[in-house]
Amino acid sequence: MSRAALELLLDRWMNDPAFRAAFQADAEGAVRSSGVELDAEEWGALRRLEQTWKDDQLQPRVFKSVLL
Amino acid sequence: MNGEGSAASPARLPTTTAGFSRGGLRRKTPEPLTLLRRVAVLRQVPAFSELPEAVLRHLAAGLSESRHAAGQVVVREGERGDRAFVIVEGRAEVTAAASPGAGAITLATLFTGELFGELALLQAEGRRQATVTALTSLTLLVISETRFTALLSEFPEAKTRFQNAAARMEQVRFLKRASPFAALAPAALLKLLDRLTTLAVEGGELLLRQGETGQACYLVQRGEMEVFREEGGAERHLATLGPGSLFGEGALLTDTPRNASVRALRAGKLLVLQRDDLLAASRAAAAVGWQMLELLRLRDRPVRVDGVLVSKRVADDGEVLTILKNPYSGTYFSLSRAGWFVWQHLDGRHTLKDLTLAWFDESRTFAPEAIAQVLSALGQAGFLQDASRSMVLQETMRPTGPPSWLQRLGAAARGLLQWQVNFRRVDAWLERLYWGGVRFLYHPVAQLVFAVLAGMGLGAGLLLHSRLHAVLHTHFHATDWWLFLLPAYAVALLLHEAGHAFTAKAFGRHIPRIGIGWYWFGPIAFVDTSDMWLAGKWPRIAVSLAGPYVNLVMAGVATAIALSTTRLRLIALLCQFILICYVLIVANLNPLMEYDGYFILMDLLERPNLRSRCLRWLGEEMPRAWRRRGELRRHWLEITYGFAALVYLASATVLTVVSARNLLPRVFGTLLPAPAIGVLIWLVALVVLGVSGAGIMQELRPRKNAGVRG
Repeated sequence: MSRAALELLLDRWMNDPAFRAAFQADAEGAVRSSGVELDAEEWGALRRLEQTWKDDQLQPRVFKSVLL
Repeated sequence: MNGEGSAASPARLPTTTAGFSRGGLRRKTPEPLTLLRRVAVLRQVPAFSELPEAVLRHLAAGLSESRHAAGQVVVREGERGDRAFVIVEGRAEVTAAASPGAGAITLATLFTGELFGELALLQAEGRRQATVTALTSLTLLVISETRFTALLSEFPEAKTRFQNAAARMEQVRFLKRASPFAALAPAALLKLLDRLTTLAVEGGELLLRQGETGQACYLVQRGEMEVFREEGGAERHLATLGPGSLFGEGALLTDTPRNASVRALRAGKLLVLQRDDLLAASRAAAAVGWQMLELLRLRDRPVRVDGVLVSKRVADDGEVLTILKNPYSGTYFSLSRAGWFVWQHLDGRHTLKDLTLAWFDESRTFAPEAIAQVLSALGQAGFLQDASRSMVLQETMRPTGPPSWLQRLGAAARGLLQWQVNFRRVDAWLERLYWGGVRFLYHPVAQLVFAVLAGMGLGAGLLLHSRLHAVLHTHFHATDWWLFLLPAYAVALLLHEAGHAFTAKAFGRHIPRIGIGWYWFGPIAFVDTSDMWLAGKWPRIAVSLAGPYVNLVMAGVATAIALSTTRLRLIALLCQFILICYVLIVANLNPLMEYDGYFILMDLLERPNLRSRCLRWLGEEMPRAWRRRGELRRHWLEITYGFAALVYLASATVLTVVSARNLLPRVFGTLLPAPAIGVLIWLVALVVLGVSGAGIMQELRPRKNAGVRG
């Protein structure tokens, strides 16, 4: 993805909530309908979207036993 | 449309019908409006309201009527306009394209007495600025261009009103198309518009100064504004803002000093909104509030908190994970390779956009959503210095007013059913105990003895269970339960928790707290081993297994004693205790509740927060995922675990209610009358179902402030 195409896409993503929602549901479809033109390599970069990062707060490891 | 400008009789005024033809049948032409009705409707139009009666009557007599079915387009954006309309009956919706070629946005809903289509008539060869569609069946008065132009030349004050209305509509269109207020309903948008003032600015004019407090924010209507920060005597350019951009809202919403300066790069026009009005808009429409929150997050330059401890470990799939520990809050955070990259850039100099571009340069992937989620999660977990800004805004958006009686009742029930007392600063004490002797229990020889005892107990229990069962039946008394077994049960629980705690100490980890409390219908003991997040997978699993293993060894010891004595009463007591130990082991290895088995499963799968992630996925993604090919298969774990946990919880709830129905009459049968016991059963059932149902809903509910959402 070229820098210019990327910045265009990013500006649209940041400023348009509807585009963000569409991008979340279907990234390729959203980009296609936004009018941003990408070449084959750029489409490839878009398909490498990382949506499953392992970044999260770790829940407390509290062991409890109940006396019933 | 016919009858335009004809001198029709007031009794029979011209009318036309559109869109009522269905399957070749034509409805009966409706009766035309009387002149009096037409005059009354025209008088509701603000621009016509002050016209003399005679002029209104003359105007009314010369109009034609038009009728439209619901869904029919009356005027279309872009077409040349040659008529204006006044709504006599019905509702219509005004829409316009958000940008050339883009989808339509709703600008307004029009009702009886409202005028539309006049904007095109104010200009020569004017084009329609919007599309108007009938929402219901619509009756309109039609004003031709000739008649409208003649009226304006005769009454200049009416022309001024129309021009003001046109300017107002233009502002609505601007707000709808480009501003954070686009989510407001048309009526709310018009109210907001009343509160906006305009400000003309010159090129080079300083509009905001870094460090100052402010009472207004600004929406760029025309021109370009530069955002910059003064650092060490020099100016650092941060951003250039164009039409539709809002600035100055961060300090305004969170009552903190401006974090940057803004100046006009060239002459332009701003819409100014005062603090109270902005807060009112955020409160009035949740969508506006969330949009503001998003703006803050998108523009923020987050800074990581100091003093965070960093630990690395390799996951099963080979990815190096970074575990953060905030020693002040006692919270832990797991970062992927990408998350670690983001974390290293959180120095107060990078926005979400900068981070997305930097990550793209690093990995050739475009991931603004994932980065936004990482930032949001870090902020919520207390790993960012300025996360409080968003929190303040969330407080601002919270609807004011006391909680409802139902919420108070729910909170009281939860407080009664689930509470705990924490003992902190116990680590040094546990450390002393561990090094003072407990550590010998972890010696290989000791562990071998424990393994033999546990295995022997299990084997003997299985082989001799029928004989032991017979003794239990003949020599166990009900009072033994209260006198001997309940205290023994409590000891088994405490040793179970001690097993977790000391095994964590054996791996050199910190125990921040232990405690006791109440959980639904019984007392609990607990130990916090969160520091094990810094250890590897197998040490974590060992700590989780240690509790049940202690009970297994205890059962083995009890079995050995039972086999070495001939006192039948003691054997019966030991049998009951052995049973308790095994029940305790099985209950704790249940992976569907957050007991030992759950942590073991979570670590085996390397899926931290398994339960909350699965349930959140069911609530948030499942409704969308079933439509996407392969998505359900890819998320088999979330679906399997999530549904199993829900079914288990629902079954446990029903079982509790059924048990209460059987148990309460036996316990209170001699103390209370039957109707009172009936009420008590209902009360218990309601509380259990209510609290349990609320818990399920809470776990399924999407996290609204996680990441940046559409």
